[in-house]
Amino acid sequence: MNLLHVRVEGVGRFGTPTLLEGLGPGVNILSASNEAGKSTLFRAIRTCVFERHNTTREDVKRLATDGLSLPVAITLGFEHDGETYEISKTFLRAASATLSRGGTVLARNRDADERLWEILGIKPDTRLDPAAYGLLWVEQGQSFEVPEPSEGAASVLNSVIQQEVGTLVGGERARLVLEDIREELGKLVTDGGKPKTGGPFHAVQKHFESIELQRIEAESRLAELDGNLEKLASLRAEWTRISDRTETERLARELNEAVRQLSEGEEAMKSLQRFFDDEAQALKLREAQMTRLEALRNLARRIDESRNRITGLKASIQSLQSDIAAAVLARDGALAERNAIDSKINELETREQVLQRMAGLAEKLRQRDEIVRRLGLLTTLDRKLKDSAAALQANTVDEAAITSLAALERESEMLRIQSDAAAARLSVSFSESVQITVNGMALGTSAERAVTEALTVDVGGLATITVTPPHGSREQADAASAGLARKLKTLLERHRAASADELRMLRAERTSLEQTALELRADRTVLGIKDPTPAAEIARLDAQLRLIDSETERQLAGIASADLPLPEETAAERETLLAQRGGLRESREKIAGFLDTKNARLSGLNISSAELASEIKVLESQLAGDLTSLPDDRRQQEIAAAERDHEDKAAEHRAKALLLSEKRANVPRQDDIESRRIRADRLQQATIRRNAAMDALRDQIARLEGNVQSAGGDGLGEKVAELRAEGALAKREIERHAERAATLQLLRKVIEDAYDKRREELTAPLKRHLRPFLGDVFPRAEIEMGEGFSVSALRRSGPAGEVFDKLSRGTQEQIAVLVRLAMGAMIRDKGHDVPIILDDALVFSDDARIEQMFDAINRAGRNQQVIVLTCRARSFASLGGRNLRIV
Amino acid sequence: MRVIHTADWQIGKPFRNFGEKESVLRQARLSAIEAIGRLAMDEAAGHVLIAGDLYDNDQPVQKTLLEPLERMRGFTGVAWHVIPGNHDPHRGQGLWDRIASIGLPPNVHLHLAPEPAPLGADAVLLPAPLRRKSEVNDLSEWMDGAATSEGLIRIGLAHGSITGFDSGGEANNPIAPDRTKRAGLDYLALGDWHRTMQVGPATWYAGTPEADRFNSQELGQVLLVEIAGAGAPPTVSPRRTGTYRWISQTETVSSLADMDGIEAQIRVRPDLSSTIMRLALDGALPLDARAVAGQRLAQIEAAMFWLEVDLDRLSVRPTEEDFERIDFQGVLREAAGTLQALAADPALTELERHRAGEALVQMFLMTRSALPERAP
Repeated sequence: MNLLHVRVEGVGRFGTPTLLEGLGPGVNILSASNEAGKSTLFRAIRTCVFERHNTTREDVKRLATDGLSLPVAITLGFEHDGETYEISKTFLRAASATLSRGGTVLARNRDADERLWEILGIKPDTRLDPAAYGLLWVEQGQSFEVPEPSEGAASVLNSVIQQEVGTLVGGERARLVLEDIREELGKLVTDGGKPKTGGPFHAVQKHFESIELQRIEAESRLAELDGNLEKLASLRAEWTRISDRTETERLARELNEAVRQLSEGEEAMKSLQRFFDDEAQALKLREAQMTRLEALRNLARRIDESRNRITGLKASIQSLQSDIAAAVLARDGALAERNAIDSKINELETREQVLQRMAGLAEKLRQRDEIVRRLGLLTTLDRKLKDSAAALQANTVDEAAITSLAALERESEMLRIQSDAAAARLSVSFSESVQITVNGMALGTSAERAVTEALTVDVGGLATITVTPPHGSREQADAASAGLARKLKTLLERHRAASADELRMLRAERTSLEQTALELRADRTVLGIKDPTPAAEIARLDAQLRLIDSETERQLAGIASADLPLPEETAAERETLLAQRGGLRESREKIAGFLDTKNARLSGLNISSAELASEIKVLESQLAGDLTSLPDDRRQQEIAAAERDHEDKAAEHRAKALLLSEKRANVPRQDDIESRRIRADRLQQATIRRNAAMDALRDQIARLEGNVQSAGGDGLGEKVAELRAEGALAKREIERHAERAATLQLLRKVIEDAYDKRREELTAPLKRHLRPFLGDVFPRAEIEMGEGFSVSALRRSGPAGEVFDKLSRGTQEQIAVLVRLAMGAMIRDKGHDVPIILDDALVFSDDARIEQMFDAINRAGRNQQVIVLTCRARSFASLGGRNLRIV
Repeated sequence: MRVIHTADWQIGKPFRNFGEKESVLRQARLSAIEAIGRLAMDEAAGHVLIAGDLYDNDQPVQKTLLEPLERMRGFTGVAWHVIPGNHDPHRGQGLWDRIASIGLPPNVHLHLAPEPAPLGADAVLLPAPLRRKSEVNDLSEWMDGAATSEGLIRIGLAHGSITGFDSGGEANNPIAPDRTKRAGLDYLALGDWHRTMQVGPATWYAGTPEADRFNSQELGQVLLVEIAGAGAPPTVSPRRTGTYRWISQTETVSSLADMDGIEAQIRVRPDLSSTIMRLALDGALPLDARAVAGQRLAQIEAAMFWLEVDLDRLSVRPTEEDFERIDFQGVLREAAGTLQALAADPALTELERHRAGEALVQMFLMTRSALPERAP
């Protein structure tokens, strides 16, 4: 097949009729920019060849021009086997197909679709899996991918190889068988050989596991049920044994007999008991009578004893009274002696008190002298203080007055000096024979004075000269001087001084007075007086003196002596007194001890006497009572009567005891009755236990019956049988699947092993066709091929190959394109002339390598049509071949 | 007098192997009861003696429990006498107590204790019911001392294995071989063996009325027993009651002609649609014949009620033509040779050899069906 022209309308960007022209044998190149529609044309060619005209597939719809309601119209002109054909298809709208050859229509529509495939050797409905075309028509972006033939493509390759190597290899048949094996195995098991989820093997295994779980659970329940049934049977057998009627009756008989024998024995015992009771009653009466007899005898004995006791007690009381009288006498004597000593002691103490008062008085008199001395000092001080105060009150010239005086005098002097300085000066000189006076005051032979006042100069009487200062200045000086004089006068008058000198003298006197007052205050302090004056202390001392005097007078009057003895005398006397009093007190202590002894004895005697009297009283009362019960006159008779009664009761008791002894001999022994009781009890207990065991057994049976009933009603046994059968069936199915898988795995392995042995032979044709293309780009290199014609390695030099996946992207793409070229050549050699279309390939190739690839492409173009679509016009400029145009 | 002797009904027995046909086989066991009832009526046998294993197990579902009872109820003129067997022993609160609590049909008589029971006016039944699945003692021993009126026919009814006679019994429930003689029985009706068998002059196993397994009784049947009077020898006649015939057959084949013969032999059977067959083939076949045999067997299976084919012992003997059918040369031919060698390799286990043969058959089938025939 060689494409001659392509015409499209309503396809992608080609809304109007567009023609790809220039197509011819060999290499064809369409260089156009991106978005020029190269890939659209590629898809249009594919669609026209492989799609039925009336298809509604989405990828065909996507081929339509956007925004136009035009049908997708594609026409291909091609040459095949020396004939020229044209196929025109209109898709989506007014769908149609027309195949013509040499201008003559061969077929239309469906026939045209299928006739075209027939001519080109394409199986119907392969659609987008177009076998060899899929290998050789490399879509944009896929040129660098390793060509992995699809099922159909691989089949084509294999058939091509088969044609070449014939039955020597048989690869295609083996591949088909392997495909079937893998398909079936894929449903059965995983790659690891385990049952495939979702597959029949897995399903039956899951079913088996489910059945097994149910079976185990059901068998467990059934085993429990069987166990319960066995136990129930055992219990029922036990029930039968226990509930045996013969045994029941035998036990009942034995029990009844034992009870009867026990009852008889107990009845005999009851009868004997009455004799026991009678004997006991008789004994009781005998003992009661004996008791009464003993009581009478005891009463008589007590009466006698009481009487004897009372007599003895009374004698004792008399003896005690004598002792008491003697004791009283001795006590009284001691009391008198003690009183005498007490009197003497009192006298001595009275005298001692007098002596003490006299010593006190002497002390007070000594204190009085001291008071008088202090009083004198205080009186003197008081007088001095008063004198000092009066003097100070009379002389008021204090330091301020002196200060004021000095100020006035300084001011007056200043005034005089100022007047002198301002006044005219009067100078007088004269002979000695003339006496001259100024203002009456004689001058020497000369004088000079300031005229501050009117001066009258008398010259020897010969002449009188009056000099008068100017009127104004003199008046001012006079006024000032008068003012000062008034102040001085006032000052002097205030302090009652006649002159300034007197004032200064008074000031000196006051200063002396102030010193004296200061000294007096110091004396006052020394005497302990805090008040300004000692008057109060003087008054206190005066009062104290008066008190002492009064006390002394009173004491002296008490002593009845006008004079006080000397203290030494008083002390000596007092010493004597104390010694005497000590001796007396010692004697008194002895007498007091004696008195205590006597008083104690007297008290004891009195108590004993009272006790004896009380006992006598009690005894007399008791005696009176006893005599009432047993008067003396009836004592003998009553005791004799009681003795007779007792004898009667004793005889009666002996008779009863004899009867009891006789009866006891005829009654079973207590041991026998006890044995009968033990036997009856034993049989009774055995019966009870037996009944209890039967009850328990009955309960267990009922409970087990309930369990069995609840567990057995659901057909458990049948269910188990069914589950076992189903489990066995499932197990056989598992075994069948496992064996089937094992058989297929064995078959696959054997075939694959054989296939591997033949791989070199299978790939040899392709390698042979690849070699020249590979030599154009990778001189002396070879490729290694894996399963399904995949490229596994590139061997460039040496035996070691480079793993294909590890090669650069550019090299991978180049090898992929070369393999496709080789495939194309191989297919063409076998009569399938398919054009090779490369859409935007070799995008990863550098400049040097792309030139080599162009050589390879041109090599392919020698024998078949190669159509290269590219947007890289400059890079592909040296490809050569026919330039295609879109018009 | 006439009685029907039967046993081992095993109602409720599962037949899971048969898939959707299981219910048919279960139903057939119930239908056999009706066949027995009809036979009794036809033969004027007033009593049917069921020598144990009426049920397949002693814990059936309620429906299974009732179904045989209701079948028996329908034959009012027949008295059905039942003893428990090892599959359905009488245990307290067990199967038979359940039935008793439900209420038996008036014509069905359970014999749960070893006590004489009248069979009409002429005979007395001496039953030996099992109380557990496996008894070590001979429960029929009591019959020796069982006193019955003079002139009455004494018929024993027991379930177990005749000691030392055969190993066909299922359970260890021994019965003395001379029980009939020692107990003065006129007839001893036994159950347990699913195959009809005469043990002594008056001692019989009835077999099952509807066959249920291979290598046993092919067709279900019962025994019609006729006894003229006390001391008279019984006349025993097997009568068919079963529907399905169970056949187990092994054939040796070496060629397709052998398969032709087997097919012809099977196809001539009149009751093919109710035949259940286990066909085991041994020998060796060429691959082509093996493939054809598979097709033939599939066709035969469709004609039968059930065909179970066992090819485990059938080996393949590929011919040169078989190999050429696979391929003349190349990968598959080489693989076929390898598999043939494996199938004959004595160093491998039998299973491995068989598997290699099957793989070879599989490859043959695949190449024949999936690949176009190729000219040599």
